Amino acid sequence: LYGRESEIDALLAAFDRVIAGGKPELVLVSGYSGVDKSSVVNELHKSLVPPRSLFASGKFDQYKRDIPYATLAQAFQSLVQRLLGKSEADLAPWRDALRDALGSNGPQSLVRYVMRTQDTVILEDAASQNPFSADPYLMQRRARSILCLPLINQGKLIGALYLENNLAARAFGPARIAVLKLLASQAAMALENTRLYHDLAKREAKIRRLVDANIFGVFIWDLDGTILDANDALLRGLGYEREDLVAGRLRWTDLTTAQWGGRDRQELLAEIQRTGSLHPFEWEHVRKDGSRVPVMVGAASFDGENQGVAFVLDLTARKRAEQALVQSEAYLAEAQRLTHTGSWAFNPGTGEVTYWSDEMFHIFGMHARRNGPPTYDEQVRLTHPEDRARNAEAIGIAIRDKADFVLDYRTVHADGTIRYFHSIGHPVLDATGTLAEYVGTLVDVTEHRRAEQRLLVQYRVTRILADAATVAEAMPKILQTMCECLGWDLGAVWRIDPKAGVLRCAELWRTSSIEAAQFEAITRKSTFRSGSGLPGRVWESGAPAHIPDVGHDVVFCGVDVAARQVLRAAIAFPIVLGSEVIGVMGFVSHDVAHPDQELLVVLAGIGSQIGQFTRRTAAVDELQLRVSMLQNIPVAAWSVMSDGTPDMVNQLWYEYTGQTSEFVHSHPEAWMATLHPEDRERASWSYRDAIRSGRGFTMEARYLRAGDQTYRWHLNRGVPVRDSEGNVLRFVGTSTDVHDLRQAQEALRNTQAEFAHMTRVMTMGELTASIAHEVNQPLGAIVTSAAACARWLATKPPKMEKALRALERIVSDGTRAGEVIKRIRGLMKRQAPRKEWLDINETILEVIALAQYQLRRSEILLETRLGHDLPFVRGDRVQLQQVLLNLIVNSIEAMSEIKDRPRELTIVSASHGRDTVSVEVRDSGTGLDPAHAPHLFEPFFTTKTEGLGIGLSISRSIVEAHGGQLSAAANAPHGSVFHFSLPVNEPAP
Amino acid sequence: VPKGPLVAIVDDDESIRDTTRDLLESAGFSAAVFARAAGLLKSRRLSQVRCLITDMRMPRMTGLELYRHLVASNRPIPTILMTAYPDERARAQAIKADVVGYLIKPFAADELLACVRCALQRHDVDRSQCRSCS
Repeated sequence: LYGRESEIDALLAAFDRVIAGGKPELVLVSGYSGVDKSSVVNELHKSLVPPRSLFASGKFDQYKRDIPYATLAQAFQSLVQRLLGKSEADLAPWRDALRDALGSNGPQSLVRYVMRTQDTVILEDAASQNPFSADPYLMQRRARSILCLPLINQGKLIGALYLENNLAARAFGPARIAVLKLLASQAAMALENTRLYHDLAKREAKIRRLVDANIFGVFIWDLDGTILDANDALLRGLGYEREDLVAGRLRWTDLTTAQWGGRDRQELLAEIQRTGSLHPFEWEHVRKDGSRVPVMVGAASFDGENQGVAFVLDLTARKRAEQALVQSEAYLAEAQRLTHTGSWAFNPGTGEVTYWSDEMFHIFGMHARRNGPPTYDEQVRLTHPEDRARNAEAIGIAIRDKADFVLDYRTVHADGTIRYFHSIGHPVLDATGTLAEYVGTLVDVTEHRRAEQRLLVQYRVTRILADAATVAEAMPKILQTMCECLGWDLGAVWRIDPKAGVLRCAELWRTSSIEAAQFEAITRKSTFRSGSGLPGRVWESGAPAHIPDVGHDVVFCGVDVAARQVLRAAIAFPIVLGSEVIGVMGFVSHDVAHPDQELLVVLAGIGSQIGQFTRRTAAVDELQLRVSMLQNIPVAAWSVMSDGTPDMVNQLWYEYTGQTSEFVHSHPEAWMATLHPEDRERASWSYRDAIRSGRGFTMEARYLRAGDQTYRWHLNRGVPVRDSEGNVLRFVGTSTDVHDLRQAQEALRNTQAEFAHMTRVMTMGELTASIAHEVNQPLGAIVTSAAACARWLATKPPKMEKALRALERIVSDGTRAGEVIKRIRGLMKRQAPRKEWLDINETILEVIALAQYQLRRSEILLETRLGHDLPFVRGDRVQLQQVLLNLIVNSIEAMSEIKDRPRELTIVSASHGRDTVSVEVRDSGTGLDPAHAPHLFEPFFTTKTEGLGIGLSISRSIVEAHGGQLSAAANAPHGSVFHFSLPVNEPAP
Repeated sequence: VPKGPLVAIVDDDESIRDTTRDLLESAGFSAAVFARAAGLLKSRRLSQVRCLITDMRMPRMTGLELYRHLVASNRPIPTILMTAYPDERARAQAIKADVVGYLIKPFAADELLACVRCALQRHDVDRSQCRSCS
């Protein structure tokens, strides 16, 4: 149909319009005869696949022009032919339609009779009365002669022959009948043949339909490689057009690969030549574009010919499905592998294990499918002895109830390791409800269980440590817990014995197993040096270590002992405090165990936890020790709340006062009960003021000692304890028995006073001349005044006024002499020190008065530069005068040998702020020898030929007792300067 | 007011000065008092002074020094030294320097007056040392 595409398209377009619009349409194809009009029309048929339409065609041929309706009949025939290939259900509507269309177009009663009786019916004259006169057809047709013959072929009625003549009666005479009967029998045969032919055609149509359905490719081949014919499926599948086929461009030698799947095409050719057929086989076809198609091919040769037919089934989809299946199986296997989940099936009736997935073999560490899955009994043998009975019972109950079962159990593997399994079984019932098999899964939950155990052990250890007060209390519990949770038989703790430099067993726990019992004694008495044995190695490295199987190592004591026992796995880890190993914890088990990194981490964590606990308990011990120290320190210690209510009193207080804890806590001011009555008011005021002001206090008071009922002096001090914001939380304080100290101090003070007095007297001795001068001056004045007075009285007349003035002078000088004497007495007198507010300048002047004469005699120029408005200082006048005297006397002496320069003594007083008053005594004497400077204030140090050398020592003690300082330095340009300062505020005692 | 011979009193002790002047006045002498040697030396009345009573120990210039100074400056005045502190060395020096008297406080008023008379006498007659006074 080369070059007719536009005509074919016009036809197809018309067809599509009919289909779409449903309106009948007439298309005329015209042309000279022989221009392939018929072929163009027939081409239409190929494109109109059955679901869309039915194609019927009839051709009017000139040579058939005498046959009425021949063309329509042909079209009808072709239609019916196609219909006959359809199913009975599809045919039924057609049959009904035909029957309705034909209606009662025939002598039905007569025909039915013939068909029923298989007799021949001859009506001489149908117009006369006959059995079929009532037949509407006959009545309507006015038929005269009628002959109806059954058509019987091989004894089987296949139809009827009906003849009628409407013109004459008795048209069928006996001769004719005989001929007709013969004819009828031949007609019957012919009809039958026709039917057979139709059957054949129908079958062919069915095959054809199969071929045309293009479900698979079909082609007719020749051995020489030619493809004689091929259906669309084949062409389409391989990417060819029908043109390629018609043009003879299709050769099966090109369409198929020469070799595939290890077979050669030549083999197949040989086989088909030999046997006439080829069983379907897989091969590969080559598309027009060169790509490959997996196919299933079957072939048969026509008898005795070099030709045959072959069908080709495209396997692409199936291959894809196959691959998908393989892939999904792979996914399943992968999923099983990843989740450690195996699947299995077993027949509870026979006990036969019918299926084990690859992962099952893997989980059990078996070589997959070498010997098939282990039997049920073999699996029971793998099960941990302690779990067997439980499993059997669970499975038994499940089988009885046709119910699911869940098993959690352990297996012991050939190398002794233990694994945990979780298995779920599900019953499969057949149609009758009988238990057919169990299918299920099995998960290796060993890791999960271990993780659980580790969590559990961490939790429990933490709890134990939280509840325990001491390490000794916690250790046995920890060992037991760890053994129980992690499945160990014996656990021990070693502590470092610092003296021996070894690890020594401090604690041990074991299960009741015989093995552990025998191991215990050895473990207890063994010691390890750093680096020796498992504990020693852990000690050395500071990291957990393990031995999967003791048989190959020195564990706790020795390989022979361990090997003799069945304790096999061992693990140990350090108890660390910071980075220091303070002990080692170790465990052994009669199961082989392979601790993973995670377990080691968990153990290291526990080791560190115990280490910290150790530190914590040590801290608590320390705290208790401190509390105990506080309880037992040799002073009474106490604390009270910020409002003054008693909080704590230590043991010494109870012992001293004889009070009880109950008394102290029920009497907020219990402490006052023991106070000396004279001290009560003062102490109470001090205390209350301290609490109220929040400042704390220091006071001395006497408390009654219960033991001997004597009052003893105590120094009481209290200070506030504040929080970070400065609020007073407590007052804490001490009450120290200073009675003996006080007495000793008093004695010392007395001694010192004595000493000071002695020194003073000695110093005064050096001022005798000066003192005599001071006394003699007023005495001389008195004597003179008395004489003058007498003279004024003796004059005539007595000069009373003069005499009176002289008497007044006597009184004045007497008083003056008395004061001098008093001052001297004060210095000479031995008296207890007493503090008073005094003016330092006045004190200086009094001393100068005593030394004045001495200074003059020694030809020393005295200069005083006394500060104005100096604050008063609190001190002992006599003692301070003694200091000044001492310094002045020293200066006088230092200048006694000086001839070549003025002898100058300068006394300066000054104040520094309002805090300090200072006094300086400068001279231009020989000065200080630097070598002597460090010893200047030491007792009995002297450079003088006479003198004890205690003057400066005592002076310094006096100044310091006043809270001041006494120092010496060189004076410029000559001599030395002594300087002392006194605090204006009263110094603390 | 007695107009007797003028006696100078040099003592840094006011009470001694006043009582001594009182005593001299009661005995009919005139008296001029000075707290310092320098006061006397600067005084306009120095030339009228017939007798000097001075304390031994005084700041800057002692009684003996004053006496020596007067002698050295050719204005010798019969001098009586007083002291409240007996010092043998000083006494020896004083006598050697030919003073009229060396009195130790407290001394009898008559003793002083005798020395004064002696001094005046010596001044008037031959200025020789009054032995009875020493």
